[in-house]
Amino acid sequence: MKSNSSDKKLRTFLSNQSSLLVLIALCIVMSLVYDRFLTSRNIMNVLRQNSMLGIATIGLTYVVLTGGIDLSMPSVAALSGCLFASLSVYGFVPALLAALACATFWGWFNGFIITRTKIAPFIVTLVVFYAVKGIVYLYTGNGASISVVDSPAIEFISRKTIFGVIPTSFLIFLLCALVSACVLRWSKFGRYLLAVGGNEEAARFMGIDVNRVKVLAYTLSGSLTGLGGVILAARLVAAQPVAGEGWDMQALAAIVVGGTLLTGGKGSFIGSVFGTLVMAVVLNAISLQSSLSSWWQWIVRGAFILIVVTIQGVASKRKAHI
Amino acid sequence: MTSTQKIKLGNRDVGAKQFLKKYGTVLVLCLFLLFNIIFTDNFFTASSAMNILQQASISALLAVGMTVVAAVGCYDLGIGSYAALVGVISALMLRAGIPLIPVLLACLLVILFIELIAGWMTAYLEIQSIIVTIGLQILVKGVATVITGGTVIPINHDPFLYIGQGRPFGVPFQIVLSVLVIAVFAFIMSRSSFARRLAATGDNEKAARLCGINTRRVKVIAFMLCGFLATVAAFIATAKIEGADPANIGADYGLNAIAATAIGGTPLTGGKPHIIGTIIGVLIIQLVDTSINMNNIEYSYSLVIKAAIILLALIFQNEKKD
Repeated sequence: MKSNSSDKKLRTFLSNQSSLLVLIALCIVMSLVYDRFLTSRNIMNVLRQNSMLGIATIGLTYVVLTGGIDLSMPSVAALSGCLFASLSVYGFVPALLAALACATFWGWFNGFIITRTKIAPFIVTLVVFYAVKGIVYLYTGNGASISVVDSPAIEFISRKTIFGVIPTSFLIFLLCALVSACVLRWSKFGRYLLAVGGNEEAARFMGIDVNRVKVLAYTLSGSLTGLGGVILAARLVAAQPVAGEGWDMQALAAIVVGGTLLTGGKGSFIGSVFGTLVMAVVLNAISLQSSLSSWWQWIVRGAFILIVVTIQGVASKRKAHI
Repeated sequence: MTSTQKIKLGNRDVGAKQFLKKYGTVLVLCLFLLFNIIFTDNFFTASSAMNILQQASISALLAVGMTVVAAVGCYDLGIGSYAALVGVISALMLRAGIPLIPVLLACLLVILFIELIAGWMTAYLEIQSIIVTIGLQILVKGVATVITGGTVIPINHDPFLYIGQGRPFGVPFQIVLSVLVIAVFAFIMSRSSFARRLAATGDNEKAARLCGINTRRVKVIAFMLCGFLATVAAFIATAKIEGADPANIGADYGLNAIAATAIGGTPLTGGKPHIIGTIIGVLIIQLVDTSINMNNIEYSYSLVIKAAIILLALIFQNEKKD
């Protein structure tokens, strides 16, 4: 009896997390095709390179669950990285707090404008993207990079590994994802997120403060993006104004692959983790296959987004017909 | 509509509001012109006026296309990447010695095909247009950059370059071309039954469908019209820089076109397209750009200023609707 129910649980988990199956299949194929794939060095690199983006992806997942989108990510990540770098003289904690506060503010600003004006989220966040990009260039004096004053704490969050394979930054990414998954599953806010994304009008009639939920989602997206930007700057020991470029599209692809509906209301943070890893492995294939130029990444990302949303679209239409 | 207007016109206060609502954007344009005439040196000359129109010709074509798509409540963020692809296709075909007209037609066909897919996915699979066009944008840009390897392919085919650089009777050919195309377009939009079907679809899709309008086909055609205008704009842009530069061209085409559409008074949630309004919106944005350039303001400031102006305009437009 008990094994039956756990079997059922596993099956629903797998059907919700089909990206995990894709990930496993990809890893098997990759390890057969490329000798270098399963080396600890390669795996460590893949995990490390993608954990900053992964943290930001978790942030964006909050927004996508409400049915919104946040295109301001790249420049918010760059701004928090630059702020962190220039304040790192005063120690790790003050720099981190200032950078996170700044990123959080821009996240809140996105949410505030979107909920108060009803302008489409992608327009507001796109405008904020340009504005913050301008601020980054102003702050860095037209695009010069700012070096980070290194300290053990900064090294720990970005370049240390545990057991020689798992980077600490990847653990931070997993921690963010797990906390978010718990929030989504067990907290009131998590339920509200899904309700707002599923049917905003119905959520409002249920007495949910839709605007507050949305503002909180965008604010969290800003904070986590900022954290990603900080760790990126810490890893490179320098903050560059172009850091985080393309993160919005990469995160979007990962979220879509992870099975979260871009219309909101259905999805999971664990899915976003698997999605991030699937994209990471695919991009790793491109870099291991030295004959392909790095521009192929764009084709792969675009194709993934389009294919998955097409499948989702067809599936939801079929469901509607039944 | 007319009856409510008559009632409101009886009240003088409301009359002023109506006047502002109708001519607000024109007033803003005049204010910007006045500001520049007073504060910007060398602004009030024929050459600088020509300059502004020349730069506005590309954005005007793109924005009018976006207006048509916005009229059915959709967005096309892919137009920048189409410019990249058109550049690459025309550069390669011209280099292979294929005459001009087939090259232009081939480019047009490719873009129309892409827009057909975009429209089909939006209208028939009911996927949000932003997601579809973001996916296509990444994919198309990726394909274009992979073909060139991220470098610039120069074009030195004189008849092609004439599109962006020719000056019949001293007037830049690109202005003539875009004015002609837009005039024909505006004429069709004011007379044809398609324009009415377009507005009906955007205003209330369900009602339009019940009236017997094939709203899906209308949406697909709207996307393809946008693609046609974007292709013409891409020819001009490519001829201007004398080559295909897919990595850099068209980065902010989408946002500028959406901003101009919104400033011009076309409701971004769908409804009657205001092509003249969009043209005024384009001129306003171009004037902002020009006044920033001619007053030697840094690029970083210009990003912030432009973003602020666009955001304010959008908020203002939103208030007006309520």
